[in-house]
Order: sequence, then C-alpha cells, then structure tokens
Amino acid sequence: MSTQAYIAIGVFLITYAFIVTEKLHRTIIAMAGAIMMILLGIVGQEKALHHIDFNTLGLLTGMMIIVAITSETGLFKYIAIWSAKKVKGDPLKILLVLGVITALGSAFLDNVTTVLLMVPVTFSITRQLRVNPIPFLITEVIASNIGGTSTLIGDPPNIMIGSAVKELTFMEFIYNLTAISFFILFVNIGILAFIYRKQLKTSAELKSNLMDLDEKEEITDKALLIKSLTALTLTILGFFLHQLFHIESATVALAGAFLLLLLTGESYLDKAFEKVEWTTIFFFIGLFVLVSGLIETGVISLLADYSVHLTGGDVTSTSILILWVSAIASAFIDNIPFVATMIPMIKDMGDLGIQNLEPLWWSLSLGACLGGNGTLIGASANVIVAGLAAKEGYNITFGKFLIIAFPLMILSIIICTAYIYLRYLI
Amino acid sequence: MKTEYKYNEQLLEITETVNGDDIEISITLIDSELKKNLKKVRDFFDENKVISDIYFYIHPNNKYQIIVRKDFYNEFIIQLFRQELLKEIKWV
Repeated sequence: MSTQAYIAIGVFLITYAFIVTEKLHRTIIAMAGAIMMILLGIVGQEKALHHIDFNTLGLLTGMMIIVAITSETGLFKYIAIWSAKKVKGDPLKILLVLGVITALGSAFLDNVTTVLLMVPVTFSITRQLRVNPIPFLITEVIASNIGGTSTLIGDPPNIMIGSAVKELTFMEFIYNLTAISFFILFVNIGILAFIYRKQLKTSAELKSNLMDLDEKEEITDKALLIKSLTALTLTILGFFLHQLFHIESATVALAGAFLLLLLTGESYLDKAFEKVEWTTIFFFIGLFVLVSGLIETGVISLLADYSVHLTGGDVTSTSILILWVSAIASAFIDNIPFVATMIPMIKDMGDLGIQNLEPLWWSLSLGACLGGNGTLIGASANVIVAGLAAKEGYNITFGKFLIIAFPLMILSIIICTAYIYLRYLI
Repeated sequence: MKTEYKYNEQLLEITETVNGDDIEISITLIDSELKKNLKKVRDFFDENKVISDIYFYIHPNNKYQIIVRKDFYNEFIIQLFRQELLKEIKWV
C-alpha cells in the first residue's frame, strides 16, 4: 500500500470515529474529512466531484420538497384518525394500524419525515384514549425502518444502492424486497402487540369520544391536498416507470417536486426549501468524497480482495457475511457511511470473480436498513422519536429499547438469511 | 392568580373541567365563521415544538374538545382573546 493509501485510511478512520462519538454534528465531521482528503492531495477536486452521486442527492431533495408541502394539508392526521375509527378505537388494533401506516409512509417517504408526521397524531390519539404512548412510538420506529427497507426510495441505503447499480431499478426493489419486508413487518408488530397487550386497554367512554371525532375537518386546505396528491401520485408512478423511459429516479423526484411548486405557486417555494434537510444532503456529499479517497488509493479494492479471500469467493458465505455484518454494524453506527463504504467494495468483488452480485446487494440492503432497529442509536428515526418522547415526559431509554428491539432485529435478520438463501443461493 | 374571562354567548359556548395536570375545554361554535379564528389558535400551538401543550379534537357540529396542559393554560386563553373568541380576560 502507498503512503497516500495510509493517509486516506487515517483520515477516514478519524472521521468515522468522530461520527460515531457524535461530539460534533455528523455533517461538519463528514465535510471536514472530505476537505482533508482534497487538501492532502489524496483525491483531486475534479475527481472528488465526479464521485458525488447527484442521483442520490436529487432524489432526496425532490422527495423532501414534496413531503414538506404535502404535510401542510393535514392528510396524515386524517389518515391516522380515520384508521383509528375504522378499528372502533381499540388501542391494540390502533397499535397495529398505526404500525402499518408508518411502514407504508416510510416506503415512499423519508423515515424521519414519516415519524415526525406520525408522532404528534399518536400522542393525540393515545391521550384521548388515556393509554401509554410508548408502545405505539416503539412500534412506529420499528415499522418505519422496516417499511423503508421495502422500496428503492424508502431508506438512504437503498437510494445509494439503487443509484450505484443501474440494473437495480425501482421495480427490482419492489420484486425483491417489498414482500419480505412486509412479512417481517407483520411478524414484528404481531410480537409487539403481544408484548404490550396488557397496557393497551381503555374505557368504552373514551373509545366513543374517539369515534365521535370528525377526521374530515383535519384537512386544512383541500385545493392544496388535491395538488399534492396529484404530484405525489405522478411521482410514484414515475418511479414505477423510470426504467422504461430511461430516466434516473432523481429526475422523477425533482420533476414531481417542481410540478407541485408549479401548481402551488411561489408562496410555497421558500417554505419548501427551508424544510429540505440541507445538513443531510451535505452529509452525503462529505461521505461520497471521503470514500472516494479510499477508492482512488486502492484501499477498497484491497478490502474486497481480502473479503473474497476470506470467503473463498463463495457467493453464499459472502452474502450471509454481508447481511450479518451490515445488520450488527448498522445497529451501532450510522448505516449511511457504512453503505457508502460497502458499495465500491461489492463492485470490486464483482471484478475479483464473484459472478452473481445480486444476493450481495440485497443482503447489504436488508442488513443495513433492518439493522437500524437493533438499538436506539441505530437509525435517525429512533433517535428523533426518543428525543420527542423525552421532551413530552416519556423516556424511551437505550436499555428499554434494546430489550424489545434487539431480539426483534435478530429475528428479522434470521428471516432474511433464510430468504436470501432460499431465493438466490440454491 | 387565576384568570377569568368573558365571551359572547350568542357566538360560542365554553366549558372547562380540570383533569389531573390538564384542563379540558369544550368549545361549541354557534357562529361557523369563528372556525377560522379557532384554527389560528390551533396553528399557534402547532407551530411550536411542544406536542403535549394542547391536544385539539374536532367533533361534528362545530364542537371542539381541547386538552390544555396546565402550564400552557394562560397562553391558550390569551390566544383565544387574540383571535377575538373572548371579549375580556382579567386576573382574579
């Protein structure tokens, strides 16, 4: 290995260590690491820009704009109350339906956005029924991470994988991940409902209060709702058809976002752009440049070579190894930098002779997305919900979450192991 | 000190009950035109970052149930006044 390679590893590991410790905002650390890669001459500015995946960034930005405007309409409150009434205000059934709604939302929207929309309405419903909101919040966190696994646009690791591997289109993610994700979802929320069943009791009077709510009044702006739903439907349709028209997913998302802004007019422009999470966008930029240092100095190729050597190039052991390492790693560290590092490594494994990379990609996706359910710090949605709950006086501690969620995550990965093996490896 | 308020009984009705750390307020709007004023009160509390300050439930026939946390009660009353749903507030 060259001196440049050692310096690249040093910068990468120091940056990673700071990201893990969370002493400073992860965006500042990732961008500082990226700038160091350029200043130390590991990678030139032109090359660094070339490594930034603008498809990932465009897709994230477009969806954030659509969600920012749609959330103004009251649609999510309407759906939650409507569903709670459909199950006659029964807390146990509400736990199940809110879990499914969160998973469906997370399949098409960013997980953090979905939980931010679900948490206030969850507090409102549980307050009305006078039941403890914690079982609902934990279920929503877990459902959000599982739902995000089911589509290309549901979770950043999938966006990155779909963007890096052109053959893995939106429809390929649907064919390969949606059914297994929803199977895992039903297993998880079924177990959670069983665990929390004794806490989920309320009186007939409180149920009848909930049944009397008028969910239609929650829609605050009907014209805006129609415009938002039109843009959202066309965007989702665009994702289904993007391969047919030879356009990238970022083009679909940005077209949907700007169609919506065209329909709503300038008044929503500033508000929508204010709600774009620029810190997340720059975190991605920093990571892409950081990993480019490892790619350009040959470190990733060496790691791939070592991994292939370790598994003897056997696709079965490599897939299972990727699945479990991704899951355990993602339970404790941010899955975005992990996946950013793994993508070029898997590509290199293809160059080193592993013919069928497909099971490796699905193993990475399932492991990295579902692994986030393992601990309270495993995914952004977990941290956000715990923070909001604590502010309202409900503490979801690291230990309390771990006892419930870690065994569920391990169970999910066992199911994935069987799925990967049976579907792709025999 | 407690707050006392007056409202136009031809336009709306307000009743209050204390329930532990919360105060449950029922509002019935006789004049539907006041819906937008009450929505502005809700928007005010929706825009801050506290979820449990008030819980706002909409029932049919312009009836509203609002659960207000005790530490946000005065602020809630002030917002009702600001949106012209109350005619008078005073400390007693």
